[in-house]
Amino acid sequence: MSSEEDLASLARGAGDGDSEAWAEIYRMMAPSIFRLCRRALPTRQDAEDATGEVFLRARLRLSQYDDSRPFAPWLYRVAANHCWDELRKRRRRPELDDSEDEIAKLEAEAPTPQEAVLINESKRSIRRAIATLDDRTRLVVILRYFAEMSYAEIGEVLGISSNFAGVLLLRARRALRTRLGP
Amino acid sequence: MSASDVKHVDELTIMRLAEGELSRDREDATRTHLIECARCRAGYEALKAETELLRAAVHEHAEALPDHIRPRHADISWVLVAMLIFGTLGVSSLWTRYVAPVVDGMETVGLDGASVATSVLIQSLLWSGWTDMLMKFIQGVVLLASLALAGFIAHRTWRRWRSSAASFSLMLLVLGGVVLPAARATAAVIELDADVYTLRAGEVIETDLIIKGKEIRIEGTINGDLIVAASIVQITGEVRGDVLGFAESIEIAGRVGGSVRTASMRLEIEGDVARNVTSAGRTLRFSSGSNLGGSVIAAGREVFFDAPVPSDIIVAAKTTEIRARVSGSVLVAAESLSIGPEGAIGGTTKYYGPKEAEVDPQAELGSPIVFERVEEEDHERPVISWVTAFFYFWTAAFIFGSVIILLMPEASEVIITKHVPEYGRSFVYGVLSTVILFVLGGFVTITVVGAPLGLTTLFVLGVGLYVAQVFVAAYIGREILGTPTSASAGLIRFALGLFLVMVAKSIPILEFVVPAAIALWGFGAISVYTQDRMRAGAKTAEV
Repeated sequence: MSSEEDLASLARGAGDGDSEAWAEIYRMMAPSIFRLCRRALPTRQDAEDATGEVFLRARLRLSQYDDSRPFAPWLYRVAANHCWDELRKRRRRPELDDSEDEIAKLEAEAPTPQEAVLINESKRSIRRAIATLDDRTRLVVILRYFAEMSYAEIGEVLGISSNFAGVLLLRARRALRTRLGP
Repeated sequence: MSASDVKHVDELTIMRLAEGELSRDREDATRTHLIECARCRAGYEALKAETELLRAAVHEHAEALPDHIRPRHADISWVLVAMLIFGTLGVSSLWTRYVAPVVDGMETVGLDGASVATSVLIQSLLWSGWTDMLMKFIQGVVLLASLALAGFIAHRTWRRWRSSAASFSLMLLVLGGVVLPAARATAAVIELDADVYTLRAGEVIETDLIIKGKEIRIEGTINGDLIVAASIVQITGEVRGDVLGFAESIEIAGRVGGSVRTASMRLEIEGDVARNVTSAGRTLRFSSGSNLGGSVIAAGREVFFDAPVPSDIIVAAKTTEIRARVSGSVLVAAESLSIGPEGAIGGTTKYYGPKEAEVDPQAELGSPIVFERVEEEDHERPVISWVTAFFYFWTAAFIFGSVIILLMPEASEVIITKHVPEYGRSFVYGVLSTVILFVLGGFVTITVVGAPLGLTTLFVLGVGLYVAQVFVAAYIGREILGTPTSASAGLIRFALGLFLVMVAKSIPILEFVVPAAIALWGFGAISVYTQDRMRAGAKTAEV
């Protein structure tokens, strides 16, 4: 039995009111959810609070979970939505939404100079640089590379198009290169 | 067509390709281009590597998880089991490596016998083939540990199935798997459960015999140990190993090649015992004509020695009479000690009692009796001393209880307000926990691991039963004065409750029933609390 099947069957059990099953889901998933929140939110305390709230939220919405599909991504999405809500609550200024223009602009550009990409940076310095990105851009990076969400899923969470999610991702990568570059 | 003439693919598109996020037709077109264009291909490879680096960076565990999120790899109950297993292993290896050599050394220089501790721990309490037993035991522990591990893994896997029936049968399976091989591992044994059992003269049992019944008679020969629980046990044949007996009456008229250890109302030895005798019960008698090869440790009401003892004697009894030769030393705590005309003591004699020992002038004593007066309990104590005693006990219990309540305010609160009021449940739990701990502790003490671990268990049980009254008292105090608003108000309620509990405990006719009921009730509440805590530990999770 893979852990994904485990989770799905546990989620079924939890949906039927088995609190032991829910506890088991928590045991299995809380570390990942905490790490996701930790990368997405500013402080450790925020992440701890968020972890609890994500599970609460997920439990309340368990009836919406389609158990023919994997559970972990569903839970990640709940977490992503929660983190995004949290970040928006605190946000002072709205992001500039210049999606279509920027896509056109980027598509007119030349390809990546291969020497510019991040190759030799330490993972630690990359994490630090990610933490300095603006909220939305940082969340895109985390949802993409930690939660393994597709551009479309990221777009749904953030309320943007999947294309623009890609733009944000590229923007993030360029910002990281600039910050870490020589 | 050279690469420079081609319109290069932009970075966004290449990144989307590298991440599998390009629509089908654009993907095909872009891939075709990559085949031709080295520059874009290099960009593609670079972006792909960058993706992997980013993924690795965010996945790397950079800091510790908070305690309540950190995954628990074992339920606490399993941790306890594992701790118990490895604890016993530790104790036994400690024993063989450090204690046993020291003891051997002491024996070599002649420090055995007279030392109470040595006698208690070495000479009598431990199983005869200790080393042999230990090896079997270690094998057993290793087996148990592997089984526990297997059980643990199976348990983790099976709990996903969420079927309690499945879990239950698994537990049974594991339990069976643990108990049966362990029993097999220690020795080949014959286990019997018979109302009346007689091993006839001439019949031989080559292994150990473990038997339970009403009347057990051994007329034949047992080449191993005899472990018996019965009303009446008579041994007229031969037991080559040890005898371990729990009975109303045990008579040994035949021969025992090892030691005899019993908890029996009456133990009468008329035959031969090659090694030591340890006995707890009402009456212990060594009849004239019996032969003993080792020492005697006995606790009871009356202990009579009518046959010579080649080694030491330690006795705590009401009446002790020595009417034969004791070659070793004698240590007696009793209300009366008499040494008859045939009595003789080779070593030293120490006697704790209310009055001097009665020694017949014809008795031979190796050295004068060292007598230490212990005041006899005055059954008609004046009221004032009863009040003083009550006050002392009350103060002691109050201080002890206050420390517990103040040290563990939360736990105490839960026990007092939640578990003690559920008196039915708590009482049942109390009875169960006490019986289990008592049997476990007693069993461990006299058999498998030896005294240290078992005595610790019994000690913990004793402390628990004493602590129990604290919570019951606090509860009663609150019932009378209402819920306290401060810590000191809580202590006042506890003081009052304790006073009432102690008054109730000293009602003459109920002097056993009331203390037992209170101890079991409170101890049960503690057990329920402990169990809840363990469950909660496994379920911190519940958000």
